[in-house]
Amino acid sequence: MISAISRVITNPTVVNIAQNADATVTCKTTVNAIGRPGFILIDNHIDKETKKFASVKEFLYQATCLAVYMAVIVPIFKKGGFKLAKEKIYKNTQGFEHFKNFKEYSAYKKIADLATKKERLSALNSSKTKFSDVLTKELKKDKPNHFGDIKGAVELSNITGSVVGLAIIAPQVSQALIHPAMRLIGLEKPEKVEIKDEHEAKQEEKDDDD
Amino acid sequence: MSFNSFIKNICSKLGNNSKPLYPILAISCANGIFRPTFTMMKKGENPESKKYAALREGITEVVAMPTYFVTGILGAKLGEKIAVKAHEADIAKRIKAGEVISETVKQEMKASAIKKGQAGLGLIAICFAAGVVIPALCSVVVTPIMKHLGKKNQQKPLDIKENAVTPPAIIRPTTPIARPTFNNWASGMKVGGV
Repeated sequence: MISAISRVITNPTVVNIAQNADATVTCKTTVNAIGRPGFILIDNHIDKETKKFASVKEFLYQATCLAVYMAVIVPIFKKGGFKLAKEKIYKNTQGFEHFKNFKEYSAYKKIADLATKKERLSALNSSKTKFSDVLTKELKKDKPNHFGDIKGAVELSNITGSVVGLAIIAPQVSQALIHPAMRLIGLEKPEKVEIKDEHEAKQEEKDDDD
Repeated sequence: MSFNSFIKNICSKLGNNSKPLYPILAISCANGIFRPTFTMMKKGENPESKKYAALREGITEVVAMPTYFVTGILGAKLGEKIAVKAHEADIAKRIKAGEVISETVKQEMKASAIKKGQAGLGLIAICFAAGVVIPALCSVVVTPIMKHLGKKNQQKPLDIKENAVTPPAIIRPTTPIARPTFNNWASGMKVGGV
């Protein structure tokens, strides 16, 4: 029993997600997008229509946050953070000198994270990225260098991006998108049309009086 | 310590051991500051409604932060215990099968298992907290706190009037109105009423 649970929690995919800030945040936001509307729907203190409205609104909010986060924040902060660390903070030392950009580091990390040497060698042969001799030698070793400082720099920029993205940018964007989406679904009254109608009604009344 | 060495220090620590708890706590903390601030900055809303919404968001994050922290740490500790037990069972099985494992390799394998177990169950615990524990706690805790603080939602309930199901009109049994009877209607008014 314990070994079965252990196999699940020490699964390389789960561990990789846990050690990646952006994957963790994506996972948590996805759970939020399911859990929060779910809890609204099972709340007995709210009437049916309000429940429907609030749960759809919460789902749209979380989904938009997730989409904005994945589409904009992650690539920008990852690439930007890597470049900033390489050029300004580490000044091409601590392993940064081996990598031209984030893409190359990401490809290297994918192979270096593989569990066995055999898997690494086959991944290295089928890889589209051309690594330098130093990196190729490193990947052929029993224990390849994981370049902890580079990983840390990427993690730090991921955390910064998560905070800026999820707490500042994504809510603003989702606020702008939610109301039109709710109107499209038919869960919210189109305000502008109503005002126009009132105005038109007044005009008609005036015309009738004349 | 210069800014660069401070950042290098953080990067080195994150690179060696990045836990799922760090980004989640950072986001929760930022949400606790920025969400109420943005709500209070909204223009054209009733100030009382803004205060109510901001306070509610603030309390939600105050509930979320320690919950993430506790569940994350508990998950990691439980993960460590499970991983160590599974590792010991695995080693015992291998030794029984005749495999020779040195003490150094054993320690390395144990350290790796602990790290993986902590990270894996830590993540699962945080996801469980985000999806189940926090929404449940909020629905139990936030409303009584708001009531205790004497805050009432001044907001219009929700803008769904046109779709709302209106309750059927209650048809009450009507009784005929009892009209006063005037015995001496034709005789005019008398002092004393009789």
